[in-house]
Amino acid sequence: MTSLTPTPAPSDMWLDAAGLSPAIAELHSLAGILSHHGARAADSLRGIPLLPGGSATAALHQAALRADRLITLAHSVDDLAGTMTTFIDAVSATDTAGSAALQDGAVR
Amino acid sequence: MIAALSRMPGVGLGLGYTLFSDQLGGLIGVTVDEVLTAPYAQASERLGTLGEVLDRSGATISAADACVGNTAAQWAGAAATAARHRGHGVLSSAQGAQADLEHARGAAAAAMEVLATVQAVFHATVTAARAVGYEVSPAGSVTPSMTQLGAIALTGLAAPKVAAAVMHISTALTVAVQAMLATIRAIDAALGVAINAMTATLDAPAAEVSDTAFRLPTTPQLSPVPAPGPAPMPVAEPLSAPAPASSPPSTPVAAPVLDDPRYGPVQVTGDLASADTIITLVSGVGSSDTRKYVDTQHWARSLHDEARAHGVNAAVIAWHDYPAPADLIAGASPSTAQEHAPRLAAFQEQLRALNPDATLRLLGHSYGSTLIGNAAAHAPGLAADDIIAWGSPGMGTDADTLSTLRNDRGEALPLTHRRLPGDIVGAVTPPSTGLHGPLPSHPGGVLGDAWSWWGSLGSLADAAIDSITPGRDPAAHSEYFWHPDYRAELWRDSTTAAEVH
Repeated sequence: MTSLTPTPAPSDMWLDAAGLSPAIAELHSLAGILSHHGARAADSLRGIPLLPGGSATAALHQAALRADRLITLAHSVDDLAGTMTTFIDAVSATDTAGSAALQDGAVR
Repeated sequence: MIAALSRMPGVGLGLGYTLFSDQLGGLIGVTVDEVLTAPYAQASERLGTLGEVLDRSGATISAADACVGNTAAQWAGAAATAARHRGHGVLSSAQGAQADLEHARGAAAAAMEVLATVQAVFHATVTAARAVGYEVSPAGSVTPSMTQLGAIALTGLAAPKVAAAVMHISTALTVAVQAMLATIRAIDAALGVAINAMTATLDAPAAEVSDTAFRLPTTPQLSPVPAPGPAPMPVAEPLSAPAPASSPPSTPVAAPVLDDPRYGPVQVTGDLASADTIITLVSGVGSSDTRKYVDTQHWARSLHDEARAHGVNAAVIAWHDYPAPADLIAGASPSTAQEHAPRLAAFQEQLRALNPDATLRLLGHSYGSTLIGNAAAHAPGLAADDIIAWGSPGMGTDADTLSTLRNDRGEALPLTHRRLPGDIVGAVTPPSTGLHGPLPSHPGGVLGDAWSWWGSLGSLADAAIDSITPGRDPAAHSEYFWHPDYRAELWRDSTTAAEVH
């Protein structure tokens, strides 16, 4: 048996899982849109016709490859939102387990 | 006589100069025809489009940054601070990338204006020289033609003076033409250096995002509460290790069905066996391409996570197991859809067997919807609970069949069609006589884009402009994937999603 000493949660820590979910969904959505914009930007740069074989043409092609970074960054935003979900789930699961234990009398 | 002319001091020197200048012009590295045909005006238009895209990406980044900041109202503590710090960091990098690309675009646009002006003058000069009988070499040397020299010879005693004047003019034209070639080459080189410099910072690796920054503490101290500033909660030491999340987000799972895809991958995100809704995407023209596979996998993953954030247990499949038509011309034929529809039907059957309780939703984009329509019309009863078509060119069957489709359980199969305004597919798909048959004809089935000849011409014009960029779908035709309403329609309950029968 583990004894429980009820202590107030520190006032600067809180988590409103239900309230946070829409923000996470919004982040996923925005990450998707950003990724789409990145792909369009890269495609546009690749499609700009200049002097064949010229320096500017080569540089724009290189810039297109670099524009893919917007997509990578969008994926990072998406990953962040996913990790936030994992965190919330883990906290919720722990909280549920804790509540159940209290009700079962496993914790006093 | 012509040979005699060439021996005259003025003429000989002139010819000697043009020979030398031709060698010199070759060193410039750009030919007259290349400059004449360089589509600078077209490039300016493309840069304008790029500017619009970058503007929108800037707004998206700002919105995401605000979204990250707003989580402070629901989540506070060390983990929250770390998460927000990471979010702002990634988005700050994105903002930098967007700004670098915008600077490069601005420089290219400014250079393009100069290039277009020089090109116009160049074009006028070369055209005028050719009109009066001069020959212009690829390297930019302007020389009298044999016809011109023959005509000079006929001037008799005046021939030496006329020849000298002609040579003077050719020398002047050569200098002017080659100066313009050199100018264009110099601008091109400078622009290349500038663009490289402005985008060089984009080579830096993206910030890694991992859960280590805000890992669950050993002793959990946070608890879901309805609002900021919660009432004190009892805190328990964990009796055992914290239970893992029921299913981690964005976990690609190998497809347990149809484990031998013949034509392309079957990408599964989520747990098929336990999902309440299984969404199968069938993509259209040009989707049998490695880059498209990456796009659809990312899309499937983000949709899965979005659904999950709304408490919906969905699995998302990007089904590429058919040889999609490579281009619009190939996509005009229904044969691929007809031939491979049974393959999709078999896949859906296996999904149903795997998870009989799940809602099976089929999503067809463009030609993918034609394949789905064929599968629904020709199978005894397609294993699906509803069908959503985005930008469909027709469902590959006749109107009567379309209105009486039934699924594998004998139930009416609901169909929903969405079309964005400006979608190129509107040019070839009037509601009643689409390229590949009719569409669901419910008034709400086509969003704000009733077919008309004028609309059709507009769509064709859009497509013509868009075709400047090879290999890219017309923009409106691919916007469905990230449209918030259409995405939500996929994971919402089928009873609210379907509106067209």
